[in-house]
Amino acid sequence: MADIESLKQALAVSPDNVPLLLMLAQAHLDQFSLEEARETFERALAQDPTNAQARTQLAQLLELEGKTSEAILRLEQVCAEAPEFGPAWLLRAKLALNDDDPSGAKDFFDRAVAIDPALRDENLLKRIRQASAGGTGESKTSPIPSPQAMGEAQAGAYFESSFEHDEDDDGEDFFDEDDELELDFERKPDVDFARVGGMESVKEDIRMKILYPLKNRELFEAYGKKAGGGVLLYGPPGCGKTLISRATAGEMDAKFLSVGLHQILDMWIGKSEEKLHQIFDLARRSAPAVLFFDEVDALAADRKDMRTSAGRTLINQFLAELDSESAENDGVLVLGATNAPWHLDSAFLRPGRFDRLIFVPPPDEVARTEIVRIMADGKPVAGLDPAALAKKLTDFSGADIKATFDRAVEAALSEAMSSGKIVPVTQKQLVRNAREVKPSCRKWFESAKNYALYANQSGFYDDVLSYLGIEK
Amino acid sequence: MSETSHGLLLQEQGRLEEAEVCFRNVLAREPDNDFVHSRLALCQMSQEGRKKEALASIEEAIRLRADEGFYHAVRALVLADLHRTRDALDSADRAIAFAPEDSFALSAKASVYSAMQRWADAEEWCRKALAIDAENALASNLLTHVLRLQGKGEENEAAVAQLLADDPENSLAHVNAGWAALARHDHGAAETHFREALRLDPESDAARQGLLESFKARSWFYRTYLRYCFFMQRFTAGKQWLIIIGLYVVYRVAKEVMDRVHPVLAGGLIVLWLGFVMWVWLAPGIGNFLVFLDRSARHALRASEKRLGLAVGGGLCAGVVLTAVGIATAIDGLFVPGVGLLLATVPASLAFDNESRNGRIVFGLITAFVVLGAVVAAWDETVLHPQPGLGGWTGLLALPVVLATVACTWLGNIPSLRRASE
Repeated sequence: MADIESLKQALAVSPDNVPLLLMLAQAHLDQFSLEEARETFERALAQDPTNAQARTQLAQLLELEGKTSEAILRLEQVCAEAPEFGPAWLLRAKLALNDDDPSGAKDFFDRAVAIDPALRDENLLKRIRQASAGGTGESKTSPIPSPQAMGEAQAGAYFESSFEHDEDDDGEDFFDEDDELELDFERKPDVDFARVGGMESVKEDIRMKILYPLKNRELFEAYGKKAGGGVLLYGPPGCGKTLISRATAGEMDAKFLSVGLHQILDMWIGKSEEKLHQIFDLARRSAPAVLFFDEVDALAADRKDMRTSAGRTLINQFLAELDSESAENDGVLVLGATNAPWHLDSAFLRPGRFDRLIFVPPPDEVARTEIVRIMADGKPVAGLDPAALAKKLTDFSGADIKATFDRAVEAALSEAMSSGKIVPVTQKQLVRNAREVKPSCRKWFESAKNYALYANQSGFYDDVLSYLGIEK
Repeated sequence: MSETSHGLLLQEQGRLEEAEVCFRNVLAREPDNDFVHSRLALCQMSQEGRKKEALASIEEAIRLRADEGFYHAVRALVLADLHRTRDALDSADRAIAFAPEDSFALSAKASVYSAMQRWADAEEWCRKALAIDAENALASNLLTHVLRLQGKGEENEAAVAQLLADDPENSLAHVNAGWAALARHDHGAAETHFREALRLDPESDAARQGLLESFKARSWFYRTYLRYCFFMQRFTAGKQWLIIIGLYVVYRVAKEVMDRVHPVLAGGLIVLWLGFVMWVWLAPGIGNFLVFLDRSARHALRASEKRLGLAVGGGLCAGVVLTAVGIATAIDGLFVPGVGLLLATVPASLAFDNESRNGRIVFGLITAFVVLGAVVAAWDETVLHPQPGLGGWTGLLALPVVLATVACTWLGNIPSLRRASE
């Protein structure tokens, strides 16, 4: 954030410098000093009435002031007069989405990205797609997503800010079949470990258990061991299991196939098994690939807990697909994520299946700082110290941090609606709201502690004991 | 797997909140699905503080399908949990009327009788349920429970052995075996069974509480208290009151007699009686304190149980030390707060780990009053009136503090101050 005083001093020397004026105006906007920002933009436009950037940012200011219609009108003019100015189209896409016009938003978004691929905003694109689909993006038949899915969705969403467009994408289309299976495929993930804040212990665990074996394949094969196989990620909901899985695929430079429960389960007998087989088949043909199963405890449930044989056949199918003796899974890494590892059938934990376990704890302080930064992005937040706030959010998951921000934003929004102007969210407000949010991980740890204390004969939950500071 | 099946799986796994989400999703599409309403009721009744919601759900299921015996049986169980035992009995009878050969309906009636502490009737209906379905887990586990409560040791042992032989992987069977072992004062075997129960079902609170009791039973002090509890459990609440009042009457009569014979003997009897009262109220807290001191056993304690242990055990230790030193050195500034702390352990034993919110408030306030009284008296004896003899604030506060403590021993028998509201 540019120093306002320095900019003012520079402008004192060069008062008609339009780029300087725009920088100062942006600095005022960042501080939500809207009047000062408006004055500065108008000064810039007085110097250069056709400046597309100034006109676009002025439209952004109008939007913050709640004058959306006027903002849209101005943007239309900018787009008509300067059709090659990408940021105007991008802002127009955001306003169209807010105005419940997802198809218009998509057109404007495509236009912006066509002009300048660096403008690609994955988060905005996801919101446009969700708005077009008319749902939350979760199961189309479930008005209320499961708590697990909600937690993971919140944590997964937080990393999707603007990453660079992958210029190496050769456009080859391996995944036409994903339309039929309705799978969330990414050709190559746009995230790797460098882009995931914190979680160093989990990353190291993944390097040791997954990445090094894959990079030193011949060494492992010399000992009769196959690289790849299955890895189970477990931990409290909303703590980044999906995110770290994507990052793992990014590190491997492999394709990432994310499979949700609703994409497999089918009311017709035999259909679920068929879908599961198709998914594995697709992954094998697309190797190297990372096949990620969310809520894997539903697909791999303890057969003792199942009342009907219909569920058991699906589990048997899953076991067969994982079984490296009967299936050709070379080059396919299967990652499973679960909040309830204790409900998995023990057959899944045998060698050749999910034989490596990684505990994903709540985000550490570094990761929380990163999450706070991402949560604050695009919101009217003033005086934020992400590190200081993160320190006060011990045991908070990504979803809990989002809930903290949501509460603060709602309070600020109520005040803004009654006062008629933008009211920024402050650090103090966020700290106050954080006290009202009960960390969701604590409930998980209450259950996990019981399993770690009383059902840990195999040492499965040693990491949980270690995290809780309990001696074995 | 449909969403209903997924919900049933989650329910079977004990993941009740997630199961509830699945069932509500189904009900959003099929609001007249009586089966799912009944499963929702079963989820809710197993969660703390949601019995009334469970009742609403099962009554909706009954409204949609009034002739389903299973739903009336579930309603009976919910009403029994809400302590509406007469209504529960009516509901159980209706369940049996609709499904006379349904073992679950018969075992629901047995459960209601168990809630009414009518052990013999509960046993009778358990046996009827098992005659129809020998694998009815609810009936077989309840049978071992009521046999133990009736003091039928041998039959209880046989029933437990049968349970374990039929299903050694059943957590509840091991819990019952654990309690049978505790009843015959074998805390080692009890600990083994409760650990096995927890291995099979780590989230079983019944198994955890049993394990805690077996840890506490390592001390003779607590073993004696358990014997007293097992003895009293055989009787209904009304009969327990009669026993307590009878003991008090005996104490008063004996004290009068001994006053005439020898005052020292009377004094000894008073100490014995007070010791008995304190022991009954303080034993659970002291037991928790002893478990807390064990580095591995302490993990079985919940946070509220730890607080109880520290408040009672810690208060008792500090109180005894201060009182003893105060007597030995004739320093009232130590003796008075020592006695105050000892008295405070009684309301404290009811304030922490109390399911009732009103109970926590009432006994918490009394504890605070007694502790404050002890602090003020200590200040009075040390600063204001350091001369020998109890006067000033100490004299003023002594009677109210003692009365408040005694009142706790009677207030603690009021169910609404001990049970969670529904």
